[in-house]
Amino acid sequence: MNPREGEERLYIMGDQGGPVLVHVKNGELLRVRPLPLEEKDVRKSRWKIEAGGKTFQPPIRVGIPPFTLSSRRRVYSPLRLKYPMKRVGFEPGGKCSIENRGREEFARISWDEAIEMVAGEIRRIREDYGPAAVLAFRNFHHSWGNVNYHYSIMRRFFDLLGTTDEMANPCSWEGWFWGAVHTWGFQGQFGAGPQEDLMEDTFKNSELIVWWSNDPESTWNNGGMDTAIWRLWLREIKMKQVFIDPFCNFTASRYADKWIAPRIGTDSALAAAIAHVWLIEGTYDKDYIATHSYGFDKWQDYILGYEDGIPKTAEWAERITGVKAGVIKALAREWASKRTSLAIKAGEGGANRAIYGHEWARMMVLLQAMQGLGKPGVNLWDGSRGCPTDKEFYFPHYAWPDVATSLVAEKIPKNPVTQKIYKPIVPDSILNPPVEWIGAGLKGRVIGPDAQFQKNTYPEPGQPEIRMIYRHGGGHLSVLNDGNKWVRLYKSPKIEFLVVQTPWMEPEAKFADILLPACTNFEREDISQWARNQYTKDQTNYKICIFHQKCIEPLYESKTDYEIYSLLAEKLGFREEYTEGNSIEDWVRKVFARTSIKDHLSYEEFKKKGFFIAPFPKHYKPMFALRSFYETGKGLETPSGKIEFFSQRLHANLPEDQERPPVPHYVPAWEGHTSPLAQKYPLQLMSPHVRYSYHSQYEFVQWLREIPLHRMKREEYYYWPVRIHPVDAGPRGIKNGDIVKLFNDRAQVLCAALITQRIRPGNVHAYHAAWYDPLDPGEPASLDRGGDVNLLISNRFTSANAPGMVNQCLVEIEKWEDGNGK
Amino acid sequence: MEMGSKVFIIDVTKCTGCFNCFIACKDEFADHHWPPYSGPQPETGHHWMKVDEVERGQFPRVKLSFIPQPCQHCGVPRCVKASRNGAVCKRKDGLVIIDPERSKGQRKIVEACPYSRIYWNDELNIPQKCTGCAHLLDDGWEVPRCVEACPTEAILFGDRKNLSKLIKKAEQLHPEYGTDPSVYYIGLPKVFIAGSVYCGVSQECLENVRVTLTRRINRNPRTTKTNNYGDFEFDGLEANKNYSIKIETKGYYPVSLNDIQLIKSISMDNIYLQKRI
Repeated sequence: MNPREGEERLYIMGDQGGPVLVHVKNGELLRVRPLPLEEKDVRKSRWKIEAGGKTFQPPIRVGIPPFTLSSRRRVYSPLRLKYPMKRVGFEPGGKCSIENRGREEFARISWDEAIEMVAGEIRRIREDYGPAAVLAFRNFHHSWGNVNYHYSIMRRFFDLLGTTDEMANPCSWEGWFWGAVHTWGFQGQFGAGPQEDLMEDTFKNSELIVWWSNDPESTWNNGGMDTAIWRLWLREIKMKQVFIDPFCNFTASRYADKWIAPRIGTDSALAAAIAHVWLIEGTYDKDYIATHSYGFDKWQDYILGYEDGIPKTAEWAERITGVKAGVIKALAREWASKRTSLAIKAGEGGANRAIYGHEWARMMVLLQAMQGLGKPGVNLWDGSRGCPTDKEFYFPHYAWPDVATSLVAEKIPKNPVTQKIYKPIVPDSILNPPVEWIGAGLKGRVIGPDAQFQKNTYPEPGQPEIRMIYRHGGGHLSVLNDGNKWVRLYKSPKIEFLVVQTPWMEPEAKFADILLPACTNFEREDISQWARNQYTKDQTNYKICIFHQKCIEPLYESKTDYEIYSLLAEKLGFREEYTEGNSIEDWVRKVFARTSIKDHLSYEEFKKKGFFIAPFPKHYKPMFALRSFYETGKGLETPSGKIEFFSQRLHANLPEDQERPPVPHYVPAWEGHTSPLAQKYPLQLMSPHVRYSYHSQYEFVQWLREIPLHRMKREEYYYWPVRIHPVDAGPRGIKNGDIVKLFNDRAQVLCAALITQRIRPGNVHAYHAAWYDPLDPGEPASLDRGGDVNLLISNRFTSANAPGMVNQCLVEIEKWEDGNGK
Repeated sequence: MEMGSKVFIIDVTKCTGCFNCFIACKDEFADHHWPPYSGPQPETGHHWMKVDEVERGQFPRVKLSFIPQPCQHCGVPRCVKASRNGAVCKRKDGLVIIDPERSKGQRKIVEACPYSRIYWNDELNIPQKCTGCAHLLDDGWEVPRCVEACPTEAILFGDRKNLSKLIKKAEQLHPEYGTDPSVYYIGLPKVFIAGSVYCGVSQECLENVRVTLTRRINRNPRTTKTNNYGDFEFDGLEANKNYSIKIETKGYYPVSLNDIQLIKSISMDNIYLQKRI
């Protein structure tokens, strides 16, 4: 386009990564900028932290991530679905062949035809099998905006219809949810620690930060790059920082005074050895342990070796982790001699998704408990959350429990179908029923700790098996593990109908029978607060509420997700119940009326301005997380009300569990460096959350692919990097930039070798959530070229009774001789 | 050639490698035609703002820097010299602009840049590069897109006289090219020697061990002490020089490591000191 001619308009929009100012010319997106702020915008909202003789205030700008800046290319991607389509070989009725799913052409159909077919198939399957035969699921994240988020309008539709519920695993929080909950409670936030004012606590009171499995410069978490300035400030106050990670991550490689690299999956051995030093040298808070904890003697028995005859010495840990005993001791001594902040990513961190990550997460809480957790400067601070913030200001988050439509609807539907299926094992469940598992997943609400011990079965007795899948946006193929199972699922004749609703031809969309083109957040209205999720209110410098001012009309024939569901509801006879007569803006207006914004601006003012920055209270009193527990020694959501070194709940429910015993243990991984399989596949792969994209959603955006750290161009293809040490690359004849094949019994994936010193020899690193690109489309065992290393990782639960996903596996790597992967 | 007034100051110690600058540049220029400043940037292959990743040292002591490189908007631009028909000009404000019409066919312009900041556009048959967002600045914008998008203010842009204090602390990339860039860098990575000292008996880290670094030619030695991890480090060294290290502490025999030719940063193997008998 020639951007010089024509009328230019400005709009405010909210994206996954934050608020943007959008320039639109002649009805087309011209540019997407971080929302520019002026002093007057933030005058009433700037907080202060005084530390190290300096005063820190948030800058007058927003730090959004690169993938949000790439939105123009995302919206106008060549992969945009233009109109509804039908797989050429598909006919409704459940009798057509499905063997060509994933590799067949699509033909255009009209919206009328599409809605007719989809509604018709829903009706048929419900009649032939029962309502529970329909399964709907969505990606972990999707287009931003509270009203249009899948938890809001998608869940409303399918709860009204009545379908099998897909229970999600706490995908980022596995170790915290299945583990830490049993040490300190906090089930409302998946076992992650509260973060209130811990930034100030750390800045003012801590002398050392141990960052354990935490990389805020990479793991954007909706807050984008807004907190990058905090890490620069830490340098200004000369905070000593130690980083523990098998990979010298992007934060570590710039800020670490010391990088400690335990072998993948052995972090809990390192933690146990630190506890051992403290016990032997008496350098832990004995008074606190006496008043604030339960079961310490059993932990002591484990650490000192009375339980199993093996004292968890630094030398013992050196053999397991590869970290020198002298370094372990030096770390333990430094940690105990200073007021130390343990910076774990609240509820996250790759180590919590390692095999038996629940043991590591539990030990993180227990180590700090040994140092007086809650004392000034002794905390579990996230490093990118917990800035000063007005705790009274209310804006609902995008997830639960007060999800947009549920928050303001006249009637909240209750799914009449009780059958459940569990996300990480959906293919196993459908292809080889029956399946049993312990532990309830999440579905838009907080679950109590006892739900962790609940037995579940699919199919539920008396209920039909799943025959239809409705997938709302995004993909599982590169986000969940063992993606080839999902390919087999989509190709199974058991699934008579597969519909995908999304803006783009994503890898999963290729398997659809019917494709429904949805539009992006830029093409509709909505309301949101930047990075406001279910337990985080303070991971951006300012609380910025956004009125999503629709920038452009839906492209081609795409429709909002809401309109698509409204049309289907109409066909199926429950439109009025679904919409309650509301347009998207009606919902937006109703949500607005429940927020604190209304105390400052009218709806019309907010809509016109596009954003509102919550003021910061004049007289602010920080309420440091866990300080009151430190002062009182009670009130945690555990049976004793204290920190449990010996978990009574685990003991009561699963006393014989060797993988998640009442006292946390180091347990050698079932696919780790000591496994027999390591003879065949000697390299350990770790796959943390990706830096330049987000759950595969931005993966196809060409501009992001041009980032050489994100993908490496070889011949005409952009390969996903696998980071490998020269000591592993050399003997395999692999040089920097070579195309290599990662393989094990599950899959084969092509990547580009990025030779680096930033990884422990024997370990390799490749980010998760790439783009599934099979050389043989539709074929479950196909070699993948997109770098989808999740294919290589087992979907076995982290432990038998903790149904969490893992992010590590064993692989071998060899040079791929054919230059461009043909 | 008259010295321009606009400069970039890039503080490498603040750059986290997010590539926002690169993406913002793509957003501004990909398939956008801004006559007479620039033709559309192609979808792939052009990095008008390039960010280089520089890794120093060896496992387990590695440091990473990122070096954003826009056009250097040189004071003595070789691209101007290599162009014909006034295809490349340096403006009064110092920004160097390639005319998207006049530069047709002039491949020599690409080859002329010693910083490799100029790219060839096959489709349009022209050389292209960073314009400093001149079209925006002329429209009243204060800073180019890359500067606006940077979350840590690692990239600053403004008038030379206003930024003179920072320029004094900064350096240019490859000053030996003699092109006098208007882009200044703070914190460019140099070369380091690092190591860890242990007790040969107990295997524990030795703290407060004195480490002395000397250059072969008689220069003043530098000294430091190991920290609680037994670690020592000397950064800011010159590459391709010869160094020696002496490690000594009470109760142990000293260790000397001579003739260390420092081509790139070295994280030495662990050093074990023997207890005196």
